[in-house]
Parts: sequence; structure tokens; C-alpha cells
Amino acid sequence: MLEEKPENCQVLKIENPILTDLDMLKIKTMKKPGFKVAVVPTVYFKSTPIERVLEQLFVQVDKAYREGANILILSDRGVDENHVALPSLLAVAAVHKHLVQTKKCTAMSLIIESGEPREVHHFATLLGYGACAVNPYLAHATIADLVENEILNKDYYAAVEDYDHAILKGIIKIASKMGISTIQSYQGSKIFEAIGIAEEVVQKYFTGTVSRIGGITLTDIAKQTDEQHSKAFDPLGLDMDLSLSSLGRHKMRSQGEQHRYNPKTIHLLQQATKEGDYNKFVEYTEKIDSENTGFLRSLMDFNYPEKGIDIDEVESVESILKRFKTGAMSYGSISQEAHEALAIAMNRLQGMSNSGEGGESDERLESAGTDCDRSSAIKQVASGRFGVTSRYLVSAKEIQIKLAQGAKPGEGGHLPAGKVYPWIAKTRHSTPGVSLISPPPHHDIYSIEDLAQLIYDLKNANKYARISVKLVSEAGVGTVAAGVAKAGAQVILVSGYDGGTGAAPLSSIHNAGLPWELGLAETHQTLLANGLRNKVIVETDGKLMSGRDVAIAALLGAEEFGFATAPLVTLGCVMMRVCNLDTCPMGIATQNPQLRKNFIGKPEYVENFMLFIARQLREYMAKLGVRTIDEMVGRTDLLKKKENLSEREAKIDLSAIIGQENIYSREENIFNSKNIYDFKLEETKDEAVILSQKDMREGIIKGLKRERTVKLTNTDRTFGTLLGSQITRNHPLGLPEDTITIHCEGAGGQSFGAFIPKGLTLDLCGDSNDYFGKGLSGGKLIVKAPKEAKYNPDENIIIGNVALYGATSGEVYIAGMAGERFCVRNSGATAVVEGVGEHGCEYMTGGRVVVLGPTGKNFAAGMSGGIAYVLDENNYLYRNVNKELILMEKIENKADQEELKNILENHVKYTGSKKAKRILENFEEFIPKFKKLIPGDYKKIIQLSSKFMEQGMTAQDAQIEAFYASLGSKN
Amino acid sequence: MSNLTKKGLYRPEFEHDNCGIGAVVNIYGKKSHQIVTDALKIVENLEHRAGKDAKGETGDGVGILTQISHKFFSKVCKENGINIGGEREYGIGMFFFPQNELKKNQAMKMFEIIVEKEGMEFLGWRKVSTKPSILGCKARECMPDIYQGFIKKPIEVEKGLEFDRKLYVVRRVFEQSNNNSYVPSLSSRTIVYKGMFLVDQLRTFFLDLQDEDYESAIATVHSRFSTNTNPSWERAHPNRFIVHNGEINTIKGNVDKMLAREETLGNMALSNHDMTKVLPIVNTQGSDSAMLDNTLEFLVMNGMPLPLAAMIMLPEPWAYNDTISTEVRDFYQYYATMMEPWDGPASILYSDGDIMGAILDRNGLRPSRYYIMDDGRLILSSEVGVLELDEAHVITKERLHPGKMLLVNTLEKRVMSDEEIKEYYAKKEPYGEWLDSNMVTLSEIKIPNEKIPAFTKDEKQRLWKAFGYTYEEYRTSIFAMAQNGSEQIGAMGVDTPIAVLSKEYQPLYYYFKQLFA
Repeated sequence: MLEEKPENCQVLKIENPILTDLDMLKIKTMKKPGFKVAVVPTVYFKSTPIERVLEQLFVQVDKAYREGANILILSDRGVDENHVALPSLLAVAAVHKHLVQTKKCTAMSLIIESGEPREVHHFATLLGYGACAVNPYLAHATIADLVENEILNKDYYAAVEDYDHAILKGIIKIASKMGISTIQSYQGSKIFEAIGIAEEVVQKYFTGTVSRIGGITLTDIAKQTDEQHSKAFDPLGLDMDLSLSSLGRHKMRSQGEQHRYNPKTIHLLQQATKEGDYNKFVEYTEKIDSENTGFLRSLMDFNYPEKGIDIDEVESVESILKRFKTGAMSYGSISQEAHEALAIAMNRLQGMSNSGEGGESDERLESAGTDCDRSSAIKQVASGRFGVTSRYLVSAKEIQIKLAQGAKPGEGGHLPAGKVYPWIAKTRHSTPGVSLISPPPHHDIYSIEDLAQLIYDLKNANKYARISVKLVSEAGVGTVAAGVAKAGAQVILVSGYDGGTGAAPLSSIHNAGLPWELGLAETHQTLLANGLRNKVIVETDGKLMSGRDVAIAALLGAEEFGFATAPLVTLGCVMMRVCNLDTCPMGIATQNPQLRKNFIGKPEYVENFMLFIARQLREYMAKLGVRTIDEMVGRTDLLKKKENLSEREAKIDLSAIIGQENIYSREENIFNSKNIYDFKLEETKDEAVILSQKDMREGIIKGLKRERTVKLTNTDRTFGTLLGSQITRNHPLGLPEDTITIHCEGAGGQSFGAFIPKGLTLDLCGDSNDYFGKGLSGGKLIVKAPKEAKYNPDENIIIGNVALYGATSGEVYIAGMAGERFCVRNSGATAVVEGVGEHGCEYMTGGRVVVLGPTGKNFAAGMSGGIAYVLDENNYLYRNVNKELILMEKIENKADQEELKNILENHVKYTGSKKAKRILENFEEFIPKFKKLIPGDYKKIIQLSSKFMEQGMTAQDAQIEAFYASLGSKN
Repeated sequence: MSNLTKKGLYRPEFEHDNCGIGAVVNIYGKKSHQIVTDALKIVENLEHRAGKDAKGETGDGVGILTQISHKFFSKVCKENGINIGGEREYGIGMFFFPQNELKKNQAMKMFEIIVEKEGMEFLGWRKVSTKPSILGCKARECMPDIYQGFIKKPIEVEKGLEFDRKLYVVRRVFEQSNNNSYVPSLSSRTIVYKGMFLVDQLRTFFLDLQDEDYESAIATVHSRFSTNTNPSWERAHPNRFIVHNGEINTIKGNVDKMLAREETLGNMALSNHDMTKVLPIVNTQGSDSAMLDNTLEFLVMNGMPLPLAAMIMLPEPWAYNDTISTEVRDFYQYYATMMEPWDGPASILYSDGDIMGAILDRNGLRPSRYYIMDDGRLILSSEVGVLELDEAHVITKERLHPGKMLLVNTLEKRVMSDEEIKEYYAKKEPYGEWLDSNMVTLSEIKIPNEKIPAFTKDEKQRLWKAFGYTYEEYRTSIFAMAQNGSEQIGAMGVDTPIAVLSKEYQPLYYYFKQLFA
């Protein structure tokens, strides 16, 4: 490699790592100088000890290498009565490990030809453990079978291509969850945690993979493979049932996999909570808690002290309820009825409900504090930032940053067009009938210091709210939690992979993340070791379904507890698992007005559930001899592993989780408010220079005009946000334009002007950093270069990356260029800028953006609403636009021209931009050089609703009609 | 770490770190103390990008890399009775020794012997002047004894890279012969001062950095924010060449492949004999940044130009990129056959004492803004506003673009653009021609006159059984993918047993859970 020579690049290039049978045939028979292909079988004679099989395999691989092979095909073709296939993953991982160890892995490429892989996750593990390409011959044969039997009405080759494409797409998604952008780097990256495999197997063949609870050995693997083989080829040669069995891995089937929610438990839970019958509830929990359910906690038992305490000594139900929350489900994914029932119930109990990521309607925000309080106490901030306005944040008791979600850790949300009814679109600040994408990452969090910044921003946006960060259990979550604690979060939620209600690809629901038992215990341990545990509240959720579940969670380190599926079940959910289709028969996970009439839930049912859980928890507490939850937290000595477990269950080693002596004092184990992170908000310029003045405070309260001038540097982060929150608190709808104006000089720190409301204007002379105008909520931002500057502002960068992320309204004028991801997820602000970097207007759903200069690559990717006007003097734009959703037009319409002109006039007025002045002076000449970018679906809906309005409908009705018309049917 | 965690679920490899970075360079190579002071000022103004422990008195790590200030070291060495000779005629090693006197002396002796064995003259030790009293107690508890060691350049060895290569071998040999010391830098061109500091402690702890005679034309700085507080002085940046803001998510795969590559790499600049001394290339105990630095350093010491090494490890998206030239695409394709991208959000600054380069990851996920001033200074940082500057003297305000590089060559006294650097390397060899005659694509291979055997119904059924296919997979999952080209969507989470506790047959794949960032 160090020497540059032609032979170095003697390789076979494969476009798709999923190979068709024909590809495989070509490779096997290829005759090109410099290439030598060797096929090594991975089938072995039945009953051969598996260690020997692997050793034999290595010998054959070495032989192939000696004979000069540089493409190695591992193949399990040839399974028959006496030939068993090695599990393909074991074969790949073991051979790859062998090649790394003997330093051959860059000289030989590994291809696996196997009948075993069929699901996305299977392929991901094979590539992740070292295969360069996979040929799933049996999956392809299955497709042929589907075609032959006319189940699949499609050409075989087209079907195979689509299947292979689906697999590849799935793998790319899995890789991107880890921030990996090429298959080449994903290959061999081992980004998995093993769960339930013995340490020695992992160390030997899956080296570098984390495995923390032990499990099955190589012999067990061989045994289960052999048993499965015998089901296909009976040892006695007897005829056997070869029909495929129903396993019900996801949806419950009558035979097959055990489901914790089954018709019996669902019925019992619904009856118990409807009738307020605690005995029925106990009957339900007995079923839930049985060890057959196969959770990690099913293997645990309480280590009761000899003597418990009297139940009257235990903390009251009311006090326990304050620690209960419902899970984050967005308004949009579930119906208004269901969403409000949860909020009402939790507000009555003084627990907390969670808004989810879809915003909250004004009517509900207004109901806060009234007798019928329908406002969610926890307001979530997710990557889509839907409806995250100053008002929304100010109304929160807790603001939760969703870093990941149990159902689909590492992935963004997706609300299909058919669910974006007009009322949903309104709270999300988007367009009805246009599907909504939450981008997978938060565009303002790519690292821990970014998260610290967002926490700081939200604290500024509402200094009374506690800031919570939601993580999903995985190997290393404790370390992330430590970082989160250091970044200033007050609550850390560790969600189990099994929880979650959201829709996601099946491979993601089942194969990403870990049970909360592991993540929670790791978090508690890591925080303790770093002296951070008493600075934060630790919360957990993920199929918490009984008092026992909650007691175990507390003993493993949780102080607060979240419930999602169980409350939905009490409201009528029967686990149809069709949440993504808008056909929920119970009127829960649907927006369809007809289906919503079927909703039979009542807040009281949810309340009963919570009361029962608390009651049951108290019973456990009395038996455990603890008076309060605080006394329980982290007491893993009160847990032990069950006795009389099956052989397999007994192999699971829980010693890293439970039964340990806790060497830390009680004070170190639990949150104490005196240790809260100090944000030093009183030292911000907002507080110290602006709000400290009586005159200014009075101006805000009475809505009087006020002006100030301040000097800023990069350490003045999130400038204007505290001030803005004070305005929102006094005037939820904001103040008239320019009521409060702050003139700034110097460099604005990160998140300059974040979330500022209408009536506040920040006029900056200088430049600014990343996250400028984040979540802008109606305010006005102006940036221009200082007078003495000699550089040309329209050719220089004066604004950082990710400006106006999640802005919902307001105006922005920038006389200069901005960095990457300008206006990402903008849903309503109007912005002018004189040049942007890559990914401009990404995922935008509304608003207007005017770019008076160059754009970087991938402009308008995922943009589903709003309009961008771009000055394209060199006709270069077409190369940079992501054309998936976008139409590129000339600005011919008079109204559009007028709109552009108005915006530019304002731009000149506020910034004195020379470029804009020149354009306005020669407007007719410049107009043909502008391009208008508008999303196709968005344009269709706008045209439809204006058509309906012309027919005399009100704007609201026209929107509803347009929505149905765009879907093509009225349900 | 306490007992609890040793027995528990924590593993040191879980640690992540991130940070703020900065650099100040005089493009003309004019050295001054001001450059050092400005760089320190930058890091002090990035306090919010640095982490602290629970008590807020110990930082996660701060450091600076500068050129070796001949003015300063000739002064202090004279005071210490060490004769170092002229500029660049000596190398300086920065050492973190154990506090234990005996162990320290053993380590020092070991180093002296190694230097001599490598055919060079060891000139002497200097105890670095520090002010431990300002440190937080965690940092003080694990504070190393900090020394500088001086090595004379043999006359026959050329100044600069060639001498540094010899010093590299010395350091690698020492690192493998001693396990209680750490060498932050050993070079004739650059030196690194770093430790577990809060941002403003770097300046106050190392008295050297406050000396007016301490001059440099290049300085890179780094403040660390770690997800953990596992005390460590070594993990602070700069590493030998780089400071890094971001994360390498593919690190396990990259390191495996580097390990496997060791034999097939070939050697250019290092002799066969030296190669055996420096291997393994990567110290797998280090952080992702340190391992990246190990690899980069190895490539450079073995003859690859520093900017080229950075280019091939962090390529921009090239495959479907029509904004770069064919030559550059061919260049990337050529190197892609040998080195996979080290992928993840990253802004990296590197310097060998003559050049200062910067490179940003392909997606542009880390901020890196820079100003060029009319006095020849280039100031780069994670944020603007870190230094108070007179706007009237600013010539350009720019940023690093995704996948792009920036290079300041103080020897040639100029800034090179991304395009210039890449075109230069891309045109050095006829990569396109090489690819054309060596690389084979699947579509080029002839289809043989053979039939792919089809399975009978019975064979299929038996194989399905043997591999554990289920009815749902047949009827729902494979069907859906073949039908729609995308995976099936589900909802409402998981309420079934984990693979190991299931009573049903579970393919081995299900014992592995995907990680996510």
C-alpha cells in the first residue's frame, strides 16, 4: 500500500453486497489474471464435534490462501441427511477472526453463500463480522417459490432485485445509526452487543464484542443446530411434517412464541382497570410476572429480609404516584382522545404525561392549571422539532430531549401522509397530506458538547423546567449517561429496547438495543463510580407492567418510572399492531374521525392502573422492609437469581447486575436537589445586563418599546433566549413586531437568538456561530458585517452550521454566507441569506428561504413544504438540488415576484446588503436568474385548497377537503 | 475505578470523547510568543466545550502542540547545563513518568539506553516547571512526573522528517519496553504540553508556556469533553500529530484491518529491521483519536506525505460526486481498494511543525471556522469570536467544507486550497489507467454457459426447516421485501422472550443486538 503501484488496485468491485445466484456463478467461474477463487464448504458431517469442525475449516482456509486464493467463498450448499450447516454467522466470524489473527484478511476477501440469512438483521451481522458479500440462495429460492405459487405476482428477477435492494437499504440504515456512511467501513466493524452467549465463545470468535451476562456455549450452539436439522431430516428417516411453523415473533400466534400481552392478560388488565377491581389486577400480574415470559427480570427474585415492615410505614400511594409518567407518544401517532385521556389522568394524579414529539395545540396549552388540565407536563424535543415553540417550552414542567426511542433506537420517525390530517398538520406546523420525516439525528447534536449546548438552550428557554434526556439501553449507555449528567441534565431516562409504541421496521424493533435491566444497572453503576449519581434523577421504562417490574427497576437504580403500552391497553388497545396504518379499530392509533368514534377509554382507567401499580409496589416495599423509594434505589442486594431454573436459564450470569454489595453511601445513591447542575444563568448577558434593569422588565410586562446595545463574544451562548422566554411568559402570543430591540456587536455565541418570540428583535453587527436562530418562534434576527470590514460580506461566512433548525415563525436577514444545513426543518420562518453550504433547507416543511448566492450539495433534500427562491446566476443549482421531492421552476407568477421583492426590500432595509440593493435596482433583469424550489406534493395541496376556497369554502374546510382529495378517497 | 464497577457492567472501551479545537498559524512561518498566547486564549474561550468532573475542579483534558521554540529551549537548556546545539539539531521528548522515584529512574535509564542503541547521543533531562497546586484533586492524585529529554541529531541524519523518523523508532521501542510511562511527543519539530486541566489551567500549570521567549509559528489546541471521568493525563489531546473533534465510529473494523495489514503494507522509508521495532502500528488501549493518530504517524514515518495520509483515511464522498475531477475520483478509487474510510463526525487538525492541515468529515458534522488576517495569521477554531480581532484586518472569513481540506505550508509561506492539494496528489500517478487495467467489476465477468441448479419442492421444504424458516418469514417478511423493495413495518414494541430465554429455535443472529450512536 505504501508503494504506489498498479497491482495494488487489483480487486473485484461489487456494487451490491447482496449477490444474486447468477453473480455467484460468475464469481465462481471467473477467469481473470490475478484473481483466484476458492470455495470452502461450511457443512459438516452430523455429530462431528463443533470445535473440530471449526479447526478443519481454518485448515482449509489456510490451504486456499497458500494456493494463492484471494477470494474465499464459504458455502453451505449441500445440506442433506448427514450434512449439517454451521450457523453462517459463526462460520463468518470465526474465519474472519482467523484471517485477522494470521494477517490474511486484507489479502483475502470473504464471501458467504448460505441458505440461512433472510432478514435484514441477518445480513447486517454477517457483514458486520467480516463478510464482504452474501449470497442468500435459499431466500432467493423462497422468492421463486412465492412466484411459482402465485402468492407473489411478479417477475422472479424483479422480485429478487427488490428483495436484495430492501436488504441493502436496511443495512445502510443500520450503519447510519452508528454514523457510518459507507458499506466498506461497516464491513467488519462489529457494532453489536452479544446477549446470551458465553463469554469464551465471544472472546474466541467474536472478539471485541461486548457480552456481559454469559449464556450458551459452543456445544449448545451445535446442539440447537443439530436439533433443528433433525426436524428437517428425521434420523430414522421417518416422514415428517415439513410445513413451516408459525412462530409469532412479532404478532401473537396461538402456538409459538410466548407473548406477555396475550388475549388473556389484555382482557384481565382492561377489566381490572375499568371496574377498579384490584383482585383482577393481581390475577393479571401473576400471569405477567411468570418466568415463562423470558425477560431478564423473569430470572430474578426478591431477597426478602427475615422481617418486613408494616405496610402503614411505607410511603403513601400519592407520594409514589408523583414518580409515575406515561411514555412519549405524539399527537399524530395517537388520537386526540387517547392523548388527552393520558394527560388528564396523569395531571389528576400529579404524575406526568408526555407530549411526544408532535407539539401540542394552543387550546391544550391554555388548559394548563385549570380544573380540566389537558396539557402534558413533559414536553418532548425530538429531532423533528415539530411544534417546538417558545410557548410550548415555557409551558413545560419537564423538557425531554429524545436522543433515541425504544421502538427504533437510532432512527427517526415517519408520519405517513395519510395520517397528517389538517389538525395534526396545524400543531406540527406542517402541511396536511404531506408525509413528515423526523431526521434520524438531532441536527444540533453530533457529540456530547453539542448535547450540553442543547440542554443549556432549553434551560434558557424555560429556566423553571427540569431538563431530561432520553436514552435507549445499549452497551455503553452508562457512559453516555455520565456525559449527559456532566452536560447538565437533571433527569436521565434509560428506555428498554422492548418498550415503545412507535412504528418501525421489524428488524429495528427486535434487534436494536437491550432490555432496560442491563442499561439501567449500567447507568446506575457508572454514575455512582463517577460521583455523578446524586446529581441526576434516573428514570426507566420499557414494558413495565406490574408492581414487581417497578420494584425491580427501583432496586436496579431507577427513581422514576414510565408506562406506555399498559396505559394504552387500559384505554382499549388490543395489540393489533397496526399503528402505522391509520386503521386502529379502537380509535387509539388513528386520526380517522370514524374510527376515533370507537374510542372507549377513560382517564379513570389509566388512573386505576397507576393506583394499582403503586398499591402493589407498596406491598413489595413492606415485604422488602423499605419505607420509601429513596431507600430502595440501587439496593441490588435485595435481588437474587431465581433457583430451580432450566439449564439454559441457569447459564445466564446476572452477577454484574444484581446481588452486589453497594459500597456507596445512601446519599451518593440518590438524587438530591442540592447537587443540581448550576447553569449560572444569572451571569448571562440576558439576566445581568438586560433583565436586571427595571425599565426593561416593565417594558416587557406592559409591552412598551425598549432598546439596548450589548457587546458579545462566543462565550455569550444562547443570547436572547432567556429574555425571549420572559416575553412569552407574559404574552403567550408574543408582542407587536420590534417591541424590544437589542443591538449586538461582536460574535454571537452558539444558539444566538434561539426560540425568541414575536416582538423581540436582535440586530447583530459581526458574525455568529452554530445553531443560530434555533427554534425561532416569531422573533426577528438581523446580521451584518461591521462597517470597518474590508472583506466582501456576500463571499464570507458570517453564520455557522445548522442555522434556524426547527424554526416555526419569524424573520431572518443575513448579509453574508452561512454554513451547512441552513434552515434544516424550518417550518415557518422567512429567511434571507447570501450563500449557504451543503444540505440547505433539508427536511423543511414550511416558510420561505431566499438564497442570494451559491448553495452546496444536496440542497432541499427531504423538503416537503415551504418555498426556496435561489439566485442561480451560473445555472449551477440543478447539480446541487436533491430532486427527490422538489420541483424547480422559474418565478413567473406575479404574486411570487411580489413576495420576493418584499423580502428583498426588507433585507436592504435591515442590513443594507449591497447585493440585494443591486438586485432590486435591476429586478426585471434578475428575475429570470432566480429559481423557485417547491415540493411537488406541497404544491398540489396548496393548489387544491385554493381551488376549494374559490368554490366558497372556509380556509379550514378547504384544507380538510384538499386533504381527502389528495388521498384520493374520503373514508 | 471502584470495585463495584469492576464487577459491574461498565467497560472502559465505552468511553467517548469530544471537544473544542483551535489553531493559530503564521502563514509565513514567523515565530512569536503571541501565536502561543492566542492559541491558549482560544482554548480558554472554549470552556463550554470542555468537560469537568462532578466537583467541577478537574477537567477532562486540555493541551497544546507547538513548534519547538529554539529560543526558549536554548535558554533553559543552558541553565540546565545541556548543550543542544543549533535549531532542529536536537529532538525533545516530553515524558509523563511515574511519581515513584525508583520506577521513574528505571524508565529514564531505559530510555537513555534505547537512544544509545539506536545510535544517537542522549543529551540530558530537564524537569519541566509546573504548578501542581492549581490542579483539581483528581488530576493531582494521578499527576505524572513530567520531564523533557534531549537527543542530539547524528550528523549524517538530515534535519526534519528523517531525524524524526529515527526518534519515532526510539519512541516505539521505548513504549514496548516500558509500561509505566507515556511519551506525549518526541520530535525535533513539535512538542506537546497537555494534561487533565480545566481550560485555563494549561497556561498556569506549565510555566514554559508563559515565558516570553517561548515562540512558535504554529499552535494547535484542544479541550476535551469525555463521557466519563476516568482520570487520565494521556487521553488529553494533542496526540503526536493530530487534535480531533469528533468520533471514529468504525474504529473496531479499522483497527482490525490495520492489524491484518501490517504484513502486506510494505515499507518505504523504514528499514525491515526498523519495521519489526515499530509494530504493532496501533496501540489498541488508546482512544479512537489516538489510534487514528498512530496510523497516521506510521504512514508518515514510513514515507507517505502527511496530507496524503489524511486524505486516504478521511476521503470525501467521491463515488457519485460530479463536483470533483475524474483524476481525483480515480485517485480515491485506487486508495479505496486498500484503505477503508475512518468514518464518523470529525474535524481534525494536524501538524508536523512545518505544515498545519485541517480536514473535515464527509458530512460536515463538526464546526471549523477560520479567519485569515492581513498580517499573515490564520486562526481556526470550533467557534468564531474566540479571539478579539480587529475586523478591519480580516481578509477572509471561511469554514472547512464537508470532506475538504485546508493546508498551511509555512515553508512555502502560503495556504493551499483543497482543490490544489487533491489535484496535486491525484495527478502524481496514472491512477485511472491503473484501475482500468487492474480493477474488475462484476458486470465485466462473462456469464458462463452453466445452469444454476434449482431446488425441488421437497428440497426447499427440508432446507427451510433445517435453517429454521418460519411461516411469517415466508409469507410476510420475505414476501414484503420482494413485493415492495422495503422492509415490513411493525409497532408496539417487543413482548416476547430474548433469544436465549426463548423456548423456540432462534438462529444465532438474534443473540446479537445492533448498537447505535
